[in-house]
Amino acid sequence: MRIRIGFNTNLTFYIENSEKMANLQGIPKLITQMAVVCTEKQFENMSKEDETILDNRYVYLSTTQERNELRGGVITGALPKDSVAVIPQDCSAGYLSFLLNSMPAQFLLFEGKYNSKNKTKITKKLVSSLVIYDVEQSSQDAYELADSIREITFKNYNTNREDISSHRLYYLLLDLCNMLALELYAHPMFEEKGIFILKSWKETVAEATENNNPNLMFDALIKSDKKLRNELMKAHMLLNDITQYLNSKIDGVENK
Amino acid sequence: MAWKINKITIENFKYFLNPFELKPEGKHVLMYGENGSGKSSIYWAAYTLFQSCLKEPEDARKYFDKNHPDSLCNLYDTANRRSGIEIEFIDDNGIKRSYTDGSWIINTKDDGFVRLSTFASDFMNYKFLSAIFDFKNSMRVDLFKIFEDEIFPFLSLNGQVYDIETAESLAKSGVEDWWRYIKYCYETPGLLTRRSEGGVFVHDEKYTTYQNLITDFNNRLQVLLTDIADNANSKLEEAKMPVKISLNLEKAAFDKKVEGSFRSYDSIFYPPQIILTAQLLDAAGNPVANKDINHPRSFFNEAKLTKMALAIRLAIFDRKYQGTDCAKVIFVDDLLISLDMSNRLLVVRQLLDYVDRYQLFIFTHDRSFYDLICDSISQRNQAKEWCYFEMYAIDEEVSESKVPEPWMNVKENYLQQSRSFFSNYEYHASANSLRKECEKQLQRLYPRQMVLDTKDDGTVSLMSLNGLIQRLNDFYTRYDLYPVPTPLIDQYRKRILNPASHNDNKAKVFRSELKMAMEEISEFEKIKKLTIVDDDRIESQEFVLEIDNEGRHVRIEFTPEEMWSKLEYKGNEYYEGIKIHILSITGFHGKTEGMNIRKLWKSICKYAAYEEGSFPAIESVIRDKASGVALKDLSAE
Repeated sequence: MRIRIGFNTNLTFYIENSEKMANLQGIPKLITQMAVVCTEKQFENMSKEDETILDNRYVYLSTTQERNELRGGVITGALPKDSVAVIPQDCSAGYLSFLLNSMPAQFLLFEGKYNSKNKTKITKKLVSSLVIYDVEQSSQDAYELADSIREITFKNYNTNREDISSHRLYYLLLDLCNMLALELYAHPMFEEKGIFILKSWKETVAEATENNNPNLMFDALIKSDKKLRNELMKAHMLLNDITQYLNSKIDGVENK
Repeated sequence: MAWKINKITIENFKYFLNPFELKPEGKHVLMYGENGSGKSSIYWAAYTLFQSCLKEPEDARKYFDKNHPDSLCNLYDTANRRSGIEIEFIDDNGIKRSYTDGSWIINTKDDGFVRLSTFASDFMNYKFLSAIFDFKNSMRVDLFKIFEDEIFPFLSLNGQVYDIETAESLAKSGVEDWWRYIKYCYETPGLLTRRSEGGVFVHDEKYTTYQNLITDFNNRLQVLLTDIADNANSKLEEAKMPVKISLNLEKAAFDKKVEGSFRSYDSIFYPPQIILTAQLLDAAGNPVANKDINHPRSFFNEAKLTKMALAIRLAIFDRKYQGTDCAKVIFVDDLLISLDMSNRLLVVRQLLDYVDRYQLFIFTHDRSFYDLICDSISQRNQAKEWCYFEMYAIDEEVSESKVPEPWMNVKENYLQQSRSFFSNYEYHASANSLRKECEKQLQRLYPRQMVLDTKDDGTVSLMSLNGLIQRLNDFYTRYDLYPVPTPLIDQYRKRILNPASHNDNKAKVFRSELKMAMEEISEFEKIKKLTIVDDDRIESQEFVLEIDNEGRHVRIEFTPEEMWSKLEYKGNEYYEGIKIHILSITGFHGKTEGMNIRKLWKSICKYAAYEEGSFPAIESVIRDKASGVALKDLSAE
């Protein structure tokens, strides 16, 4: 079995080798160990039994997905039509949204068909097979924030396709989220290559919070002397190495 | 700046047959070299080694294979010697790492350090700059080919390119990777399903994926180009060039609809174009005309084109990786041959702004350019961070080995030279170097008219040291620089500097006196000179002097009649008392005629009832009329 980071269609490998694949950032688990995945009907029944479900944040996923669409987002209240609900148990809804919108999940949900013209049907079964990392709360918050900003930039990008600055910000945030997710699934390899994206992102958020200046988060992605921007660039430059290295490690684990 | 080049060794490569070593030992390098002395071979050697990490080993090795058509081995090699390049890097803690790209070993491939260093470093020569505008007047300036060859390999599109058949990532995100794959898909028969009549099958999923890939590429490339153009425009503004450039992408396209038809598509691939246009700006930064300049070559002179090209080149450079876990080096080889000195100075300033973050290697065959950079370095008090080399060619007729050989001279600046001679008890030589240092520094500091000596017959020559020193008090007065930094210089001239220049071996040079002279003359190096008004803005840049005190409001508008500068010395600033042309004056009726700006300022302060000693600083009451920027914020090195 070959695992290609970001395009893995068989993430169960992580579960089978969870001890070996556990990293400093967290432990891989099936999504159903950390959240309840349910259909529209099941959600309706659950909310009849316990109305407080509607007050809490959860993630919805449209059952029909297309290129350049968000797979879903965090909401409260009734589940939109033609959706699957993912109700967090041991993690935050925002973190789940981040993961479900990230590359590894994207490729699983799209059955490996990135940029497909054809619509893909998202099912409860498909979502339930996702592997996610159980990470500490501060990291969940950082991932959630990145995903929220990406969502805003995506909306701007989508409503103003001619505006180059909207493109720029969307691509930057999309790249940040994808690299954060990639780092999560391949943390030891990132560490070996000296790439620390989550750490730099957390530092950036702390600086922006301290100075009460959200623009510092964008600066960190754009300005050439900023650590986060350079960590992302480094990940791109060494992407091939990371992928090859990861594949060889996984092969090594498998052979044992 | 964590890692730097400690040593470059070149063997049987281009100009160098025998092993040749350049040892910058982590310092910046300024090298003067005659044409054909081998300096460009050093540039290409470093380039070849850095690039080798991106090549397959057989592709990297061909340069060192004498029998390969692309061989770069020395032409005089008759003994099949080994051929290669070795670069040793050193970090701030003295830890070294060495890489070889040669016939016997290549250890750069897949090495993260070299790869990061390659993406963080840059090689600039005149070829690239001239290529940017090397188009016929009638042609649009399409930079795509130049970018494809020179720029794309080093920039990222911040997104992975994916396989249109398997949807798997190709684990690459470089512009070149995207572009190569897009071309590959089109050029590979059968990949995009052909219709029987030779077209493409639009309902195939690969077709849609391919179109999506092209759209992504276009969008991401346009973002990149816009960023580069914005950054280049900032650099043009810094260089006081009233021009704005644009890099417009004419997007790549595939299978366009045939004009006039409803359902026919042409199955043709249209490569993108990167069209460079320019706009001339007025003093307020607004476009002078509504129309873009589509043929810059026919509109701008060579110097302006070079400045625009360099701004683009540096803007591209700023897009590169800037982490600290690799070596960041800029190699510059004869970059500015088409610029005159004043324009070169602006560019040198821009380049020297990188010294804190990069190790610079500047190679030139132009002696006056070399001296200009030396002066700029010493003005910044950075001479100790540089090493200076001179390279000469010994041709085969006189060389011992009967093949052309380089001869390299490690060049010290005059003050260092003087110190070095002093340490070796060669006092006359030390005094002689000191004299040269003194001359060089006074020529650097003085306004142009104080450096020139006009003879009775009208001829003009550079003033002798005696003449220069005689004018030193005038110079300090001109800037109001008191107490003077070099009070005893005339004594040292008579006792130390002159005997040394006259080869007067009988005149004794006392060690202690020489040492004191050296200390005093080294004060000149500490005086930094900053330009406020360059000669191209004399009598055109307008200033306002405005003082308002105790009900007395004085406003004077003026233009400088000569170049204007200030000195920085020991944390204080001293503004030059230049002649001015008064354009308007309100609220003051005293004498202004013949007064320089310093005297006028003092006179107005007194008139406005300020006490002597509590005048508002000259730099705070004078501002640029157009921009409103205060005098203190206007200067440049």
